[in-house]
Amino acid sequence: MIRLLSILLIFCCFGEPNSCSAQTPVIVSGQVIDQKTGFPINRAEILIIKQKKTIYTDKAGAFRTVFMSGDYTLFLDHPKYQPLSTSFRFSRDTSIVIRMNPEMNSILLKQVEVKAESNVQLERAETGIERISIKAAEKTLSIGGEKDLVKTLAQLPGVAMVNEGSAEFSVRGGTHDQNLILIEGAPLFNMSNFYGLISPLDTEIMDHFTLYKATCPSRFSGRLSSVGETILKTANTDSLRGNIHIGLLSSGLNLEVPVVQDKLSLFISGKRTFLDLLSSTLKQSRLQFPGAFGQFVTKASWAINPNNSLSYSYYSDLDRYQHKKVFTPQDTGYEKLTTDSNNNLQSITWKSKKNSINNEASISLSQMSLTDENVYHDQISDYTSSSGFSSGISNLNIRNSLFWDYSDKLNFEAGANLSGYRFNPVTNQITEPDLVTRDTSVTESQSFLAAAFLQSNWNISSNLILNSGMRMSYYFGNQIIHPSIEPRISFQYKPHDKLSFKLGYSKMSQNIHRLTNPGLGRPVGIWIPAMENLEPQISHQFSLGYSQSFSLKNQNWDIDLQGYYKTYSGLIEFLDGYGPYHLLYGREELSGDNDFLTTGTGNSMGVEFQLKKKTGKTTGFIAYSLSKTLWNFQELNNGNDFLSKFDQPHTLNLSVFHRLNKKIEITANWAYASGRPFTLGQYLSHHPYWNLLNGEFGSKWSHSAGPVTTGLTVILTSPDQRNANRMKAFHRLDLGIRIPIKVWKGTGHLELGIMNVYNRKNPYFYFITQEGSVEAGTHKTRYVVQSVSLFPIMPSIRININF
Amino acid sequence: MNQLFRILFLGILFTLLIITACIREEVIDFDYDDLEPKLTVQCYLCPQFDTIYVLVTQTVPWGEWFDYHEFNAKYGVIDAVIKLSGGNLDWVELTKDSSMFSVYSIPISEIPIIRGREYFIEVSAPGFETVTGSTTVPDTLAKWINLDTIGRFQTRFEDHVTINMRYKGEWEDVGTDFGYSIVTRHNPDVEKYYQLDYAPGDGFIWVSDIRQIGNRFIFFSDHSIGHNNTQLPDQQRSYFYLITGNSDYCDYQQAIAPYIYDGYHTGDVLGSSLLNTVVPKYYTNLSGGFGIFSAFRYTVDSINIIQ
Repeated sequence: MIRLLSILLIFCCFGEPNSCSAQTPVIVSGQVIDQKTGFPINRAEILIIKQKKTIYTDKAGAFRTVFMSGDYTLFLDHPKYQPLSTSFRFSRDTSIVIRMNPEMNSILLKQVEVKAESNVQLERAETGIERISIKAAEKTLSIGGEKDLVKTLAQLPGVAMVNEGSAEFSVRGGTHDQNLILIEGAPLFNMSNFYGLISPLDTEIMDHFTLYKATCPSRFSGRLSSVGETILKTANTDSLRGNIHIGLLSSGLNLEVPVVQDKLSLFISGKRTFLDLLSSTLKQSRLQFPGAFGQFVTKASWAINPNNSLSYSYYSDLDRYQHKKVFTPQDTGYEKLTTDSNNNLQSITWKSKKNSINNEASISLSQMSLTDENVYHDQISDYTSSSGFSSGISNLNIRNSLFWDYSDKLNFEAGANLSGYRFNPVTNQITEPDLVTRDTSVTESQSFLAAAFLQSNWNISSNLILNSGMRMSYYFGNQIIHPSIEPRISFQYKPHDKLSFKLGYSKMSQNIHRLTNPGLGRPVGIWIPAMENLEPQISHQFSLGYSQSFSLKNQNWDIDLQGYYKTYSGLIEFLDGYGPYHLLYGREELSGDNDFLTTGTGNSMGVEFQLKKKTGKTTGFIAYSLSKTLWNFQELNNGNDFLSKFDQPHTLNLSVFHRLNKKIEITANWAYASGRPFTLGQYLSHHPYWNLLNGEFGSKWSHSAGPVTTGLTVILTSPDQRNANRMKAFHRLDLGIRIPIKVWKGTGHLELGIMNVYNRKNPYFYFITQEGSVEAGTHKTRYVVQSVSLFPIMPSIRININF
Repeated sequence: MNQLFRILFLGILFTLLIITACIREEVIDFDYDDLEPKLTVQCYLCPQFDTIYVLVTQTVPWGEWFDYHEFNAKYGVIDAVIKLSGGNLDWVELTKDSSMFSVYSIPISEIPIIRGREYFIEVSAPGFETVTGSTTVPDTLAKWINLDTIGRFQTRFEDHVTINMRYKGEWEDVGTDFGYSIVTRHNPDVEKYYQLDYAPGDGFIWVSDIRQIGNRFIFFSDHSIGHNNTQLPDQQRSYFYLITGNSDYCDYQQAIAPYIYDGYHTGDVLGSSLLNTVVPKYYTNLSGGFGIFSAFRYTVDSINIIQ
């Protein structure tokens, strides 16, 4: 099968399309500029309807492509400009200038009247592609008014939030470490901050975002389930612009600074939560808020000349949880817990253009660290001890890609990349100055990846498109060598412009694993490399899709239906009874020859449906997914299949946007997702203490510490009941309203919302607790599962001021 | 505009109040009505015992309240038939121990516990699936190589004194199929034991209190012992029992260890609120039910802690 696909792929990549000689090729170059200011518009999207092809302008607003002579309609789109449709007749090499109208102040109005919003499922041949409209994402309600793209992603069919209070998400039944999120080409390793309320993917810093759920372009790899490509905002080069936003959780500032007109610009963004600062002024210790999050983003863009541009981007965040308990009543010491989580991403990209070839070279460095320190200080004895751990991962990636428009029907992308990883799964540090200072245990390791890729997009005929690619990679490190050949192929058949059928196959590999809590409890993750006995993860995904745009009562609608079947190998899980804390506290050492991890396989299948109303006073969508994900590990569940902890059979999202008048718009979102599976014991047993000297039961000569009259109440779990229970379903209704406002010389809008309108107690996590005890004055006891919910009905307020 | 910021300020305060107080918990019920109760059997074989005891109870349904004091009366099984055999010995039947509810016993003279020998158990009771299992008594026994105190200091108060010290002990690994527990008894009058730690014998240490260097294990333990008057006795000995258990013993001890540490109940594993834990793996070497049928041997040494 693979050989057949390889032959087909090679043919597809290098085969000469027969129809190219029917017309005369003409080179069309042009520039897209702001109608009012005349400045070039960067990354305007130009859809060539006839060719079913999309190109983008560069920083000089320029574009260049090859047409066959004839009549063409171009559709132009950009987040800050009114969409535009225009027609041309090209008979010889031509240069054109297209002017776009800047958006009016009320972004809302444009969002409602998305008359020209294109359907990416019709435009692109890849299956499972989702292009996120930043404009639409800004309307999605989030706790505290945060502009969080993850909340928008979770509304897509096939994408589910892992749980409330987490910014992690699962795509088509995959684990959350199987999602590669790139910010300007640099991978992001930690997604969830500030109790999951804030993700790094703030729409205020983004230009656009594309999510690939199935057939992924061959320039991407490294994760099995999805790739999310984030491009940061590029500052305009004409005048200083900015935006201030004040919300209930965080406030921030975005600045677009033109350093050298038409040449060099700087985008700067920063935000910080302030509940910790605000609560520190309150005297009640119960109201002290222990969490804080800060984010800083900058992007420098230099248009060297019309054919060359250089950009540097930097992303950094810090999520801190700090809790200090002072011993009372004499203030004789304290115990302080500090947990820091930090992302640092940098990348440099050089884009150049010569004739019909575009080149993009980039280098990126990404680092993530998690540190935990618990300090105990006793003032009387002047005794201080500390314990904790650190964990982290860093990645250096060098990549070069060539884009070649061979003809109006065929283009290629080829390139290579080198990547190096440094892992610090766990470093334990324990310091006890009065007695022993223990050694720091370090388990650092490195691994490397070299890859080459080739991709082609071929319009075989007016209604058949073939998108094919091949990626070859070579992973080495930690005593393993893993070569991989990953074909990606998708066909699109379009009987007409508003109807599309797709078929795709994709192989992906993942050379890093993330160990997460396999059962109950708060989510925590440790990145580790593939190594001996912990082989890289591999997936094969077959997908198909049907998309149609239609009009009903003069309103435009889109309907999408997609199906998939995906297999996995190389999945890793903790053996029964083990979790991340065995590593984090040095109870176990990480190596391929370990006794607490095991590998297995899995499969996911599902169908996804989306119906979208795109025009009129009332717009919105309904998205539903039906799926099933099974895992199989020889050492778990007696070797039988069991449900993945990310199996959520039903997810449903309803979103409605209604324009009350020319200024005000209201929004309603309702989301539902099945609860996640988890493992729980079926019985309890009480084990009285016994005498180790003579074996008697019930003796006060206890074998174990604890009240001598009692014993241990133990949860009995059958080895064939893994993930046999399911958490409560998640569902929530959010309502919001956006009102344009004027503040001093700036304009903006006020967003008011009510989250979790009917006060649903959605589970954040479950834990087991014992009710009743000897200490509580009773001998009666029982174990129960308790659900922890974070958010009751909550207000949401945000002010955005543009200047 | 001022009104706008006033609304915002009030909203922030309101959110702060909600977030600091909004963590809500509720009990989740699970329907296990269709699960049949099973037998839970506990039996430890040791050549140093005079009698073999077997405790037979039945499982408690998930979520059901029970009283420690009434546990045996409600969940003890008093009409069980328990048989043991080992090596070439015939099956012998245990008798109900009159002093302990739902405990069955037999003198070791009727079924000698010999090191290196495999033993079998069969437990049946009306209405329950029969439980069977086997275990082998450890052939070798780890012994203390070194046992001492390091890093001591005394804290004196008006009416009492506390001795703070760190113990250090060392023993040699006797094989890959064995694990070790250390149990200490600091005050013979109190007759209370503390299980310090457990190290499975497969080369992985369990907590940093025990280190493995080559085939040697070294353990450290901090303890404070208080005296109710400032006059210390001339001598006070602490006893350290080094248990060499077979793999069944070790796996079972590992399975119940989270309950001993109590970290499981609180979600505060080893002092960090960052992490919760997983449902511990329950180990049983019995088929047809739950519990443990295992064997171990131990050696004891003591040190004088008054210097």
